[in-house]
Amino acid sequence: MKKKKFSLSSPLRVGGPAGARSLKESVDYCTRCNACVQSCPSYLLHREEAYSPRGRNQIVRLLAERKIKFTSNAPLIKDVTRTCLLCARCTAACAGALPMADHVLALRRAAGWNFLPAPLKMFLRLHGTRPKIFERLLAPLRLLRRLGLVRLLRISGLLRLSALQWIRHADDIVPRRGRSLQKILKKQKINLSPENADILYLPSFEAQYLNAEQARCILHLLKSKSPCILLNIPSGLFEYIYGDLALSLAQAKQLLTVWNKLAGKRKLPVLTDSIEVYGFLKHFPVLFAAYPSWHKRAAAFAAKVLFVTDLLPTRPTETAAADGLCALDASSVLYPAEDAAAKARKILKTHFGKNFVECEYSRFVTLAGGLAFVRGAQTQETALENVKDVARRQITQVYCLSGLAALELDAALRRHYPQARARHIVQMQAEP
Amino acid sequence: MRISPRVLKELQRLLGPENILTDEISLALNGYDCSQSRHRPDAVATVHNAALLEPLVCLLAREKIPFVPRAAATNHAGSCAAVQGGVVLNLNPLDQIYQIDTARGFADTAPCAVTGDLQAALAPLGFFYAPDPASEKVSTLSGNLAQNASGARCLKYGNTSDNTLNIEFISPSGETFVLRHDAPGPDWLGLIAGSEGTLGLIKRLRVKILPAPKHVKTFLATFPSLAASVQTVSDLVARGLIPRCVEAMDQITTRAVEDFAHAGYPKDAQALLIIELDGDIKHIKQDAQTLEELCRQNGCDTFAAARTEAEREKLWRGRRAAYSAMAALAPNVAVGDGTVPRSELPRALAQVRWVIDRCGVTASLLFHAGDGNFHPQIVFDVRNPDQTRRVSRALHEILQTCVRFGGTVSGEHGIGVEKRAVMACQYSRETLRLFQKIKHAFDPDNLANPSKIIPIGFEEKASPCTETDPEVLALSSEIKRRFMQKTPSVIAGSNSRLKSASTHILSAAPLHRILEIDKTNYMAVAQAGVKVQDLLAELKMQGADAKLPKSYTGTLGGLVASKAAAEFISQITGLQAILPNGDVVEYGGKLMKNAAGYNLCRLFTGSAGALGMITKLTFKIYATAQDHTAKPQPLLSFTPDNLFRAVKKELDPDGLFRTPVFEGEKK
Repeated sequence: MKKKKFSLSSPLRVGGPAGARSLKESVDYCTRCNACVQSCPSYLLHREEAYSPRGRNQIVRLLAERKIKFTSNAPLIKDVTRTCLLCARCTAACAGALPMADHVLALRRAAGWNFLPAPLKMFLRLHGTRPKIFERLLAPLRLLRRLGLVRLLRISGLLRLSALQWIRHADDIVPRRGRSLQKILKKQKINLSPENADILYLPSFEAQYLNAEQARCILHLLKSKSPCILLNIPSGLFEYIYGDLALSLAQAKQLLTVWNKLAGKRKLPVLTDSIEVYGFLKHFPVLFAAYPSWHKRAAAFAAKVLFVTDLLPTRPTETAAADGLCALDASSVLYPAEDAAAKARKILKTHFGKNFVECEYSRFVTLAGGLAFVRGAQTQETALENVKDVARRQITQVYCLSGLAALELDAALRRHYPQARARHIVQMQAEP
Repeated sequence: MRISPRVLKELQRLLGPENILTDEISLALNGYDCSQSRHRPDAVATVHNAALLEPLVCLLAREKIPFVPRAAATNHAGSCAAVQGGVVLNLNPLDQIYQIDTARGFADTAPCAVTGDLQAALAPLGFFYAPDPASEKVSTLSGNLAQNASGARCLKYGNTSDNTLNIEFISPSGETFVLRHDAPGPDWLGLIAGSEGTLGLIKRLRVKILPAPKHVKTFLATFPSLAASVQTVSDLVARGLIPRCVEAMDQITTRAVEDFAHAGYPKDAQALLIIELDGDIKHIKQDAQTLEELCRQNGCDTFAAARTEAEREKLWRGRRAAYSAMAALAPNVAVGDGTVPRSELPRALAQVRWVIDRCGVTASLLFHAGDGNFHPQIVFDVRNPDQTRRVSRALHEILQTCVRFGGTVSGEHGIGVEKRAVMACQYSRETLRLFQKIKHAFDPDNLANPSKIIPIGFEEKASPCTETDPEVLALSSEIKRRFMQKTPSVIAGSNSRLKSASTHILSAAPLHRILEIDKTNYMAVAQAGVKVQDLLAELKMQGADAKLPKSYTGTLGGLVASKAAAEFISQITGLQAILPNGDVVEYGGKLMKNAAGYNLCRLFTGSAGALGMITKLTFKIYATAQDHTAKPQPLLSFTPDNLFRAVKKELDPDGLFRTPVFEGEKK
C-alpha cells in the first residue's frame, strides 16, 4: 500500500471568537507569551517546552514553514501529539483564544495518527455509521461482561498487554449496571417524538450507553420542561477527533439537514448533555467557514445549541446531597466551554452556597472525550493528581460537565478516595 | 559551536540520558522567548535535581561551554536566546515550594517555583507575595528576580529585589554563595537582581511574604488630560497616600479595550486611572476621601468606586484584557517597556504617541502611573518585512524618547538581546565599561548567558561621561592622578564611622551640596558629602522627609557605603561614583523602576569605599514625617570572598582604594 505523504495543507478552517483562519494563519497568531503553559496537564508532567501548548504550536509552525523535517523527527512529534489531551485549557488561557487542540488534530490527521486501538475505533465508528449493528453488538458484549469474561481476562493477565489495556480501562470506568437510554425510555413509557416538541435532544454517548443514572436524570429534567424530540444521530465529533474528516463533515451536514427538516421555520433549540458535543456544535460556523453554502445554516444552528446548564433550575431545590463540599470540573475537549462552565458555577453556588469550592487556579483537570483509553501512565498520573486535589480540599462531590470525565474521575475516586464521588452536572438535581 | 560527543556523554552521565536533548525540535523550541529573537542552542539540559546544578555548571565551566538558564521564557527582550549556542538549562522541573513560614514571614522555594503557585499557596494562610508581574500565573520567582520584574504593586511594596531575603547563587565557575541584602560588604543580591542570568544561576530563594490586607477597594477615575491624571498620582504620593497600584491608559487604548472587553470605561476620557487601596476599612475610608478630593482638585470627569466584588472584577477585566485586545488584531505583539520620572510621563507619552503615528504602527499604551513605567503594545505581522522594520524603528525611538526624558530603556522587562543597542544611548562609555568589568569579574570566560545587556562596540557608539560639576571633576582628576602614580587612597566622608588614620585620605567633604529636592516626583538629589543631619534639616524646611536615621552623625555617602541604614538603601534610585581609575559612572535617576544594566546602587552599597567613591545619590522623599528612631546598624567587618576579590581585581587591580574594615584585604 502506498504510504500517505505528510502534508499540513487542508481547506479546513480553525479558529475561535476572533474568526476562522487557515491552520498556518492560526499558528502564526501565537505570540509565544506562554500564558498557556501552566494550564497544560501534559506540560506539568513533562516540564519540557516540546510538551507545552506553545511548543506544540511552534512544532506545527516549523513543519508548515518546512523548517524541520517530519520524517527525521517523527518519534518526538508523535509523542508530543499523543500526550496532548485536547482539553483546551490552553485555549481558555490564551490571550488570542487560539484553538491549539485543532492545531494538534491537524498534525494528527496529516501524520495519520489517531491513537485509538483499532478494534475500539472500528466498534465506536459503527455508532455513527451503522447504529443498529452497534446496538446489536453492544447487548452480547454487556452480557459477556456480566458473565465475568472481563474478570477472567483480568485474572489471566491478558489485559496487561498494551493492546488490550483499553478493555481494562473501560471495565474500570463504566458502571456495571448499564442500561441504555432506549430501554429506560421504553420502561418509563416516555414518548420522545411528539409533534408539538419545543426542543430537540441530542443525547450524549454516556447517557445513551454508559451511565444509566445520567440518562435517568436528563429524562427527569426533560419531563419537567417542554416536550422534546430525541435526535439519535451522530454529531461528527468522534470522526473529527479520531477518524475521517470527510466523514465527520458528512455527519455534521446530516445533522444540519435533519435539524432544518425537523425544526422547520421555528428553529427549535438543540439540547445536549455532552459538553464535548456542545463545544463542537457551537464551533460549526468555523467548521463550515470554507463551505459558503453551509456556513449560514451552521451559524443559525450553533446559535440554537443549548447545554443542560441552560435548563437546570437556578433556584435551590432539594438536592441529592447538600452536605459536604462540592466542586466543579469544567473539563471539556477541543474548545473551552466557558459559558456553560460559568452557568454551572452559578447554579452550584446557588445550590451549595458556601459549600461550593472554587477550583479556579489549580491543576484540576480530568480527561474528557474518551482520550483516557490511550494514555497509559500519563492517565494514571493525571487521575492521581485529581484525586489528591479532591482529597486536599476535602471535597465530597465533584460535578463534571463531561459525562466521560465524571466516569473517569469517579473511578479514580472510588479507588483512592472513596469519601468523594464525581457525577455529571445533570445529576445534581434530586434523582428520580 | 558544537559540543563534543565526549562532553555530551559526561552531561548524560550527570543528568541522565533522557535529560540531554540534542534533537532538532528541542533545539528549535528552546531558542526563543516572547520576543522576536531566535537562536538555537547546541543542547538542552533538563535539571530535575537542584543538587546537580553545581556539578553541571562546573562541568560546563571546565569545558568552556556557554549556558543559558531558562525558566518560563516569558520575557520580551530575548534574554533566553542562546546567541552563542551552548547549552540551555531547562530549570522548570525545579518548581517546589519548600517551606512557608508565616511566623517569620518568608517562603523558601526552588528557583522555578511559579509566582502564581506561591500566591495560591499563601492565600489560604492569609498572606501574599508582593511582586505581581503581569505574567505571574506562569512566570517563575527566579525569572522575576533575574529580570527584576515587579509589576504594579511595587509602588507600595517595593520591587522583586526588595522582596527577596536571600538566595543561593551559583557563580559561572560553579561556586555556591548565599547572598543577603544585609550581609556585610556589597549587596550582591541586589546586583544579581536584574542581571538576566549573565552573572550566574539562582539555586534557591527565600522571599518575603506579607499578611494579606483585609480589605481592598478599587476606584475608577477619568481625566480630561494625561497631565491631570499624572498630577493626581503625584499629589497622592505627596500626601503620603501610597495606593496598592495605579494602572492607567490613554484614550486610544481605552477605546480599544472597551470595544473588546466591555468593562464600562467611558470612551471619551483622555486618561483613565484604576486605583486600588488596601488596608483596614477605617484607613481605606479616610484614604478614599483624600483620593476623591485630589481627583476632583485635578478636574477629574468621573470618579467611581467598585461597590461589589463583581464591579471590581469588571473594572479589572478591561485592564487585563488589554493584551488580548491587541493579540486578536495581528499575529505578533511587541510589548515595549520604558520608564521615565513620573513628572515627565505626560510629555513622554505624547512623544511616544507621535513616534507611533509617524512610524504608522498600531499600538495601545498602558502605564503604571505610580512609577512612570509604560508599556506600548504594538501589533504587527512578522511576515510583513516592511511592517516589522517600522515596528523595530518605533520601539527603538520610543526607548530613545525615554532616555531623552531622563528615563530608562527598561523598567522591568530587561535588556536581553533586543535592547542592547539602546543601552549605548542611556549609559556613558565609562558606565558600560564598568558593566563589562562586572560581567568579566563574575564570568571571566563569558559563559553565563553571553552576549546580553552590554552593547556590542559601545566604545564607539556610547558617548563619554558629561559630568560638569567642578567638585566631581576635581576629585576625578585627583583619583586619576593617584591611579597613574599608583598612590593609594582611603575614601572618607566625615571619618566618623570607617575611621582611618591613613595619610592618603580622600575626603568627600567638598561634595556638600543638596542638589535638588523635587516635590513633583518626590525625589531628592544630594552629593555624598552632605551630612545626614543637615540633609534632614533642609528637607524639613522644604516640607519633606526621608527615611534616614536621625542619630547618624556622618555623611550620606558614608551611610550608604557602610550599610548603616537598610531601609534607606532600598530608597536609593540613582547613584554617581568615581572608580579607582578616575572614571565617573552614573546609574539610575529619579526612577521608581530600572532594570537596565547591573544595579550599581547595590554594588556600591556596603562597599566601604573599596570599589569606588560615591559622589551623588538620588533617593525617595516623602511629604509626611517619617520615623527616624531606627539606630544606625553597627559596622560589620567583612571578610572578602571570591566574588569581592574578583570584582575588586577588575575595578582596582592595584588595590589603590583601601578600607580599614575589610579583613584580609591586601593592603
